[in-house]
Amino acid sequence: MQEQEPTVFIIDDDEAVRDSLKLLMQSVGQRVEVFASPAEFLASYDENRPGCIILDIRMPGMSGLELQSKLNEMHCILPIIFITGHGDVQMAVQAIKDGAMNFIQKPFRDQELLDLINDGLKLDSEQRKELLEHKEILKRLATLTEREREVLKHVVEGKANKVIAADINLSQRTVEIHRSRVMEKMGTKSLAHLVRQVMQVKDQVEL
Amino acid sequence: MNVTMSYNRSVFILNNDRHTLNTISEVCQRLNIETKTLGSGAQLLAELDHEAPLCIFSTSKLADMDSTALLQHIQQLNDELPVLMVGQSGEVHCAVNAIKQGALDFFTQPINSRRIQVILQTLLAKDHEQ
Repeated sequence: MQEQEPTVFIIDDDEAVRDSLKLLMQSVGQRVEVFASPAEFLASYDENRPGCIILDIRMPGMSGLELQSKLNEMHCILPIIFITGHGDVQMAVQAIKDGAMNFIQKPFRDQELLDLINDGLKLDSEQRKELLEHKEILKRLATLTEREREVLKHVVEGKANKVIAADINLSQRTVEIHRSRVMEKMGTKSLAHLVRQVMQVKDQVEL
Repeated sequence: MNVTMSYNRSVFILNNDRHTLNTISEVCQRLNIETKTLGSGAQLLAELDHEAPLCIFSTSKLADMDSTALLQHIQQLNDELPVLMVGQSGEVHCAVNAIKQGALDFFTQPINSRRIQVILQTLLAKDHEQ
């Protein structure tokens, strides 16, 4: 599943644009899917498929910006590259504030777009890797007992075993045992790595 | 020079056209904020050594440096200082870069005094909280 080939998802209401972009993608051997509207894209959206989105900012019905905020709500991590026209400054600013990766202004050169797509696919793959790591860390954290979590919390705060022992009323030897179980369960031998793991998921879990 | 009627920090305005300058000045006057007009990016950076303004309104087209460089310099001096850019409606690229570079917002000319007022009021409220 992880090795899935990335796809460029193109969403534009203009058929001529869709066709030419599709051709461009195919000419460089890039897997591509085109959609005439945000609704059409949402209907087939699958969060497990890697890639990036090329999105027209102006469309009848649901606009590009509306699709972006919908995707944000859905925690979609696909990087978005907006296609904007001349004079769309306020919309482009909004799009970037809302987390769009980049934008391209019409008319553009093919290579310009291809470069942006390269960046997009790279970003997506990095984000997915990170997400996978987070999941793994969370999974490991979930196997800790309450005591082990407590010890971990103190360890991450940088306290020595002796201090932790006094803080939570255990013998130093018991703290040492908990600590080594924590290291084992978290799959690490280094304190620095342990701390880094906890820091990586600190927004998602409280010790 | 410590006699000042205002409790508010001042607003720096960089290199803007007359209409933009007047609009910002008027709003600032209403809100009891002093303004300081600066002629170049270098002048602005020098001024930032002496004073931390409430925010900076800068044109997107400076004579002595490009706006991305200006934003970088400002951030090195004070990364919490809000910078508001003012530019033309066609400058999508410039606007996006400014936001990515940490500008708080990008306005196109002619600027709307209500939006300026809302932003300044928000910044004032935040400033007084601290």
